[in-house]
Amino acid sequence: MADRVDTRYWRFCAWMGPLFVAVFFVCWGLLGHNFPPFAPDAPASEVATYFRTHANGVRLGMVIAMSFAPAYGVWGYAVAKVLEQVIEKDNILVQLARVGAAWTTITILVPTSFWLTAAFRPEALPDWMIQMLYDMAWLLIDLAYAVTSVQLFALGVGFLADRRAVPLVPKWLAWYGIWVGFMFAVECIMPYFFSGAFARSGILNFWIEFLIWMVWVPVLTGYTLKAIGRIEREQANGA
Amino acid sequence: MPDTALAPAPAMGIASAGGRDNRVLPSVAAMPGDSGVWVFIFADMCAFAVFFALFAAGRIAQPALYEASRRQLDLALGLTNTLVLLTSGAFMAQAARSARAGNARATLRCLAATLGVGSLFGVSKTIEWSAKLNHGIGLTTNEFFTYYFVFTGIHFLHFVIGLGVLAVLIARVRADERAGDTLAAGRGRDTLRWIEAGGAYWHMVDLLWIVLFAMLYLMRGA
Amino acid sequence: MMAPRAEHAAAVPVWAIWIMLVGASAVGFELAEGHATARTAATVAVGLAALKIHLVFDHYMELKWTHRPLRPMLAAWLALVSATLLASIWLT
Repeated sequence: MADRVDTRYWRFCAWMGPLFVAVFFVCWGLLGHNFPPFAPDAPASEVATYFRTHANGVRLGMVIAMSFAPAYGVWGYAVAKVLEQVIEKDNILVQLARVGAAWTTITILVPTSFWLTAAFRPEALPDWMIQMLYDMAWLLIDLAYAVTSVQLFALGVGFLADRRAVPLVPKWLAWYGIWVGFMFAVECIMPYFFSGAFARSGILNFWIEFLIWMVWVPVLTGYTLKAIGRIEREQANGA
Repeated sequence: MPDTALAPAPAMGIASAGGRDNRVLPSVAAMPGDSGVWVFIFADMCAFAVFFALFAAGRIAQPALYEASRRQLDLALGLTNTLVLLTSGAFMAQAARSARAGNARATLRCLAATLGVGSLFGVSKTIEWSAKLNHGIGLTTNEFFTYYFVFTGIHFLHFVIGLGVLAVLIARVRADERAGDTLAAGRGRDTLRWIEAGGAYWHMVDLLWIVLFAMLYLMRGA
Repeated sequence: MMAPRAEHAAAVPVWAIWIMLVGASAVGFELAEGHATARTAATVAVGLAALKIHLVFDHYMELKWTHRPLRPMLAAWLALVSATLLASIWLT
């Protein structure tokens, strides 16, 4: 646990989490036709036609999504600052929570650049190549789940160690995060399916997996903001 | 930071120390184990409820395929799996009761039995899966077998994590014993909470299998 | 620490519950390939599974003595899962 901390900018950074989710949903999800994605068994011509007729929309969506990808990392660092008030600053869990967030940023940046590539000159690309870029981006963003699981596990286990009568982050939320980290592992079977619940557009591997993560971010942000207020009050009372 | 902020959370799931001799049951007011762990357990059970709904929808759409596939399963191995997990679960329940009664030796014996008997599930599942794969039946054979392999596979992952949890619990009770902590006080009281929480998880592994066994093996179709 | 609100009912021995669980499993297994009609056998299999889960909830997970809201939540889960499986039997 740290002694006195300077909490300036923490709230700003914490708000980057919900901001990221909102921007990512609109730009990557709606503009990029990823929410929900094209089913893997959709014909290449369908994907290619969308990219050709909506090239500007996809470009705009991916450019903004790439610009806001670091917001996830910034948010992760703010949550890790609160974790430092629960366990020691140089505890490995704090470090893992940070790198988990930072790595997640990369696993968002790289696939969004593939979708952007598909929308860059789609009229010059054959259908199958646009489909391949679309597939490649989806395989990467889904199968990079383990990177985010590192963050989810580190924050979950770290916040469970809170000995306060009322913990900064409730135990149920810590456990929920750990559960999300485990649930992500179901993505491992995604490459085997072109339709159904386990395909990238299926109820499990898309709807459930993305929603449980996208809910976790704003809920944890709410508790992070409350915790920052408590940390400031505790410091003021202890001064 | 003020001291009050660092006061330990009130223990849950431990029978009140109000002089009761029979402490084999948890306190009426509390949840067994840590209340937060139930969020993990309930969320997980809800995910499985979605799996069961997927299976049910598939079975309604293709009853003949599901029945033909079900007939290819080895019912005796399914029953063996069930009996192994039920027996392991009974030892786990006994371990929690022994822990609350403050009997560290009996707790250790029961936890070891839970782990030992439970491990047999790994053996029988390996035999079952390899038999299927050797017959050329795999993840993508048909929808029934996709669900069969995915659901039992995810369940197996839970089982493996459960074995790890049991091993940690055993190590912790041993360490407490060496340090002279009882299960009623100090660090030992935390251990008791973890035994209850780990137990709840292990029973979840057990009860999800009960549904899987009925759904995959026993639900005979026309 | 919270004090017990009321006297506990006597704990049922773990192995008595185990005998019931094993018995229910054996009956379900027997019916799966027995003479009963497919629908009857499948319905009984789901009913027995629900009974077994109820026993595990109450006596192994020790929810019988637990405060709300956990017990009703898990009971709702069991009702939903059972209804789902029964629907797949009766709608085919």
